[in-house]
Amino acid sequence: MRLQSVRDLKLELLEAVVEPAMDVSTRATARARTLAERSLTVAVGAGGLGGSDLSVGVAASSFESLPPVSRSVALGVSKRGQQHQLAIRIQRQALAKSPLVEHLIKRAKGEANVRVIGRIEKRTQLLRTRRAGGPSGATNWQRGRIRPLQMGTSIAHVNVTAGTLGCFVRRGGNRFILSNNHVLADEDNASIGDDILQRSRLDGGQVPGDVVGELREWIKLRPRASNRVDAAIATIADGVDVEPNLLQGLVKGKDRRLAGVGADFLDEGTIVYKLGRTTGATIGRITAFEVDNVVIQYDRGQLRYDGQIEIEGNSDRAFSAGGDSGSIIVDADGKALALLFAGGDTGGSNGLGLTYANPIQTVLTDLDVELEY
Amino acid sequence: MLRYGMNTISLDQARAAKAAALHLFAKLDVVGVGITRVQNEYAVKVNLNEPPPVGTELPSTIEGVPVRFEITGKIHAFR
Repeated sequence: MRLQSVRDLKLELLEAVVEPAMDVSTRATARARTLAERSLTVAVGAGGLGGSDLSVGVAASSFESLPPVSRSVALGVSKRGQQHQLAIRIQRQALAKSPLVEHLIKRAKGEANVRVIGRIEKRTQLLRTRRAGGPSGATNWQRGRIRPLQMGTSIAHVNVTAGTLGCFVRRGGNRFILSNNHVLADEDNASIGDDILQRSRLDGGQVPGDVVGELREWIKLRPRASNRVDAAIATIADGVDVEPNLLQGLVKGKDRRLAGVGADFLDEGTIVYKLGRTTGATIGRITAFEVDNVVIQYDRGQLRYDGQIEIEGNSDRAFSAGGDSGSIIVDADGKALALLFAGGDTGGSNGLGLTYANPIQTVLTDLDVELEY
Repeated sequence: MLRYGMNTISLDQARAAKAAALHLFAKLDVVGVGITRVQNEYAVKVNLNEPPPVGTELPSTIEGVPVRFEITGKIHAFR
């Protein structure tokens, strides 16, 4: 099909067939349409390798932009060779044989690509958790309210969905929480003194009960120049205790202790570990270093990074997923190497996506803090 | 991991080739250019958002340094 024909068909089917069948609220529909348009942008031209592909790009989104009702069927455009197809994305395998989907395929005259993608708004997290062999739908302990505070647990600015508490840092006599700018400072949208929640709002955190500190400082994101780090620090409220160096269950279920800052030079092949809010403890391998011109999609648009570390998950697991942002990445000795902040869905030798991280030395230097361990 | 063979390509050579790759592939949808290893030799890794247009010729080396391409797709901030 021609691109415009698929687009027209998509919109027509969305309004005439999918939405009535799904019985979603008006608000959800409007948002879902925005998502569908976003996925369209990503999908066009993204196919080709291995037949066709479609990325529904909604990994990073502010809390307000999440659709309150998840759809069961999403439509987009995918590409096969030079031809465009109707991309039908369903959230349960059982829907593949449903009259609704069969009708959609028929309307596309068979030029359709059906794929099960899981729930859209938390797609990355759920899909990865399942692929990672974790219990489907189970909640990691990292998503709970954890006191004393510890590394690898759910944390975020009050307006942000969810991220991970990386580690603790010091400046002078003061102790701070380290995570990403987009986790603690909402991509520069936050103000000094804003509430930081552990657990994050996505995990049920509330004001004031789950407030553990205040946003203190962040490295501003630069839209027109290259960035080095996505980093911010938050203070820790009086009366909130801290377990400063425990990496609970990091390696094969066994605890590790953060052991300082690791080597400056991070070679390809280095085995690394992380503890994160979404995928928990994972093991990976550095696939590239000194990676420049890394283009990352944020809510505010695309940003470019230089000097980054690239990691893939070992064997059949992704190294990270949405919600793991801010995790500290350590080597086999427990030495801190990098701060996790971004990733994709399809790269790496296992096809489960690559993870990107800022070298920890750069993070500590730019924030003028020291690692606590 | 077993490492064998001689390192005939220095890190500086790989860095220079990486810089060259950024210019060389400016017309492609590059989403990352870094240093990796191919059979224990340093090499340049070029990440693309999508497959290059049909007919695009991609070199296997830049300034004598091996180059590997990977279609990584879009990268998102992992909030």
